[in-house]
Amino acid sequence: MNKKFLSGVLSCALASSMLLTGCQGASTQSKAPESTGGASSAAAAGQITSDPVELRFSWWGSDNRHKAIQEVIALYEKKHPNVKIKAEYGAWDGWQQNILTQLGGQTEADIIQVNYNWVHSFGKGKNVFLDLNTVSDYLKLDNWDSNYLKAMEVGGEQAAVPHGMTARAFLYSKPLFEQSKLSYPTTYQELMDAGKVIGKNNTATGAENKYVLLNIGKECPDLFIAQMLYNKTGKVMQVAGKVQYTEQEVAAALEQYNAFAKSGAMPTFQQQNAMANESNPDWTSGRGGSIYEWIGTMDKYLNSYKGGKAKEEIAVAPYLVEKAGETPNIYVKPNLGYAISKNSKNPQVAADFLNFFFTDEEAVTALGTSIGISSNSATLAIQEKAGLLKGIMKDGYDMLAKYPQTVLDPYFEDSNVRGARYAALEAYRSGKLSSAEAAKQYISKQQEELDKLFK
Amino acid sequence: MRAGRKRNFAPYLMLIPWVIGFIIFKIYPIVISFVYSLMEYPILGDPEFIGFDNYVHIFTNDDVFASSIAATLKYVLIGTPCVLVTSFFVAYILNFKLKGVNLFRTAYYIPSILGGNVAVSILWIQLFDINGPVNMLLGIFGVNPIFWLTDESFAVITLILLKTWQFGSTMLIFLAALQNVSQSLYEAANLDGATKLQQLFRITLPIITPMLLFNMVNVLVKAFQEFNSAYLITKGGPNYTTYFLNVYIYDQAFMNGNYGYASALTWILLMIIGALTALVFSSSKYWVYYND
Repeated sequence: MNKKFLSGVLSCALASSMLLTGCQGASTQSKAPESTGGASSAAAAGQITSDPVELRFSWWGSDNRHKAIQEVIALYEKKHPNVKIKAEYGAWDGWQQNILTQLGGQTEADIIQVNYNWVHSFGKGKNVFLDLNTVSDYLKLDNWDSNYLKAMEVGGEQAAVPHGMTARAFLYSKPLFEQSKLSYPTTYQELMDAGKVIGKNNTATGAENKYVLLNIGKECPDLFIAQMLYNKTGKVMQVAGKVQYTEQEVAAALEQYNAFAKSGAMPTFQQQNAMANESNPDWTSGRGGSIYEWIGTMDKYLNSYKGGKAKEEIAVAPYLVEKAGETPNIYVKPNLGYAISKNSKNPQVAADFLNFFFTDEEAVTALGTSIGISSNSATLAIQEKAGLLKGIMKDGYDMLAKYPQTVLDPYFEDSNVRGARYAALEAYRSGKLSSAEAAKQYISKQQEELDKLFK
Repeated sequence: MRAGRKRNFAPYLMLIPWVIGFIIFKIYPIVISFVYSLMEYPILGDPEFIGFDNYVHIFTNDDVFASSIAATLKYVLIGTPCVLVTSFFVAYILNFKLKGVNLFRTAYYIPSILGGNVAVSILWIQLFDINGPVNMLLGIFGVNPIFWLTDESFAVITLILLKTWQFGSTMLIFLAALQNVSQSLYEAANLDGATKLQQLFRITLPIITPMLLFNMVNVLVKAFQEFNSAYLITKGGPNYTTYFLNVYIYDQAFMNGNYGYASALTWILLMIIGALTALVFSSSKYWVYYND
């Protein structure tokens, strides 16, 4: 009797909780927009729904970005008490794998910080995120230059919106050049010559070796060589899935790159420290004269240089050119994008949050330059008004503004395409392959990977 | 009589949660991974059945797999004996009645607890840097600095040294086995005039061979599954010389989103581990002595 009563109670409890969950699920879902031609300005979340809404927002970055975005979330939640946004954040290492796995299992966050290449590579040319045109009533897309939006357009759909545009730039330590009575090189030949002076006492294994340029990790040499090839040939790496260079062109660039290392301008493959980030001891100690980094992440390197106690010693240098007087075309790419999940139950609220993220004065001020300098006109105006555009990052963008720019091909950074270049470079730099063999591999393996994407 | 023959289902009912868990979390993934291995299965796309094409591609047209399998086998075939010999040697010493022996046993076990985490990886990078303590120490003996992490010949050795350093668990099992060897055997051997070396090879080692077999299989399987050290310290380089199969599988599955190809690689890894384990077990009848 008691057992029957107990099982009855449990069954009722289960049934009622299922019903309640069902009701709640229905009530928290905001309806899909019926048309995009309604209100032109972004609507407030309170107007979208007054029911409780829970969103997830995932991003990667360093501590200052984590703190800043959480502040923005708190500001939004304060203005929209019915919305709760759960933050999911971490460091870059392993983040791509994390997001890809979540997308595969359809467990991704509602709002996702994305990389430029992800929006193109993940779906191999098909958009895997929500088309932001469907929520343009809530997220004002007019604030972006159409070319910047186009960079994150996949298959005619707006997969994400970029925060800004970024490029690699040279950040250099003034004392090392002043001691050698040198100014920072402006041509590849000057880079080589500076190496012969600054690195004249270098030995194969010297603990006190000095270098003109530290090409940290695998990505730096890859981008440096890509820019070098562009400067020398006037051709970009790939167009519509076809590698544009001849083996001779690549071999010549590789040989010149190795000559830099031999002259003492850069560490050789063996001399390169395994610490492939801002903690690289050659940089933090001041023995590395410069780095080639994304403008958006320069602050990290500024803070690690001599423990952050000698920031005045650091400046942004002009881009290297083949011959003095030339103006190179610099590779740029969208600096972080923001996408909304196709599986989000509340895409309008997510879009409204993104609009707040980019256009609310308090939010943009709280973000500071933790994501970089924005290319969204509203965000940029607030950043300017709040006096945020200063320091090394602004210097980097100011330097970039002096040059014509070319947006990197979306598949340039595809992990397989890039991996093919990395492998060829490593094989050449470590002496496993000759320049001709490495150049052949550089082109053919990259082409193989591109063919898979464009089949 | 009838009541006595009535079947008691209680044990089976108690086993059900485990059986369900085993089917869902072990059997199902194993079966489904084989099915995936027969497909082109992009993580964000529709799977397509392609038969054994993934396997054919791996064995006929994948240079990275060839490098990866060479790196893995080198690591396993050198690393396994290194761990076994070191852990047995330390266990043998710690089996003597030394002053403060418990402190030493704890100290030698600590590296095993640390595992292959990020902190240990940074420690290893610093230790084996060209200007790091290891080279400084070798310099005292006139050895020229070695590029431990960037030289193709040494990178895998550096990771084997890390593996060997973490010998604690294997050592504890050897120690337990050594403590079970009857002292009367050594006393008898002493009376017969056997040297310590003879006692080691004629008494100790034969008696602990079941534990040696256990440790060997364990270390062998774990070595094949090595991931952290290669991923965190050498990033699989230089030139794929530390690009172990597990790293390759991880990259294929989670970096490139090729579930089908990664599943095929996983099955190949399983076959290799299975074959080598079977070889060790089948050879055990010639060198393992059970006390029965």
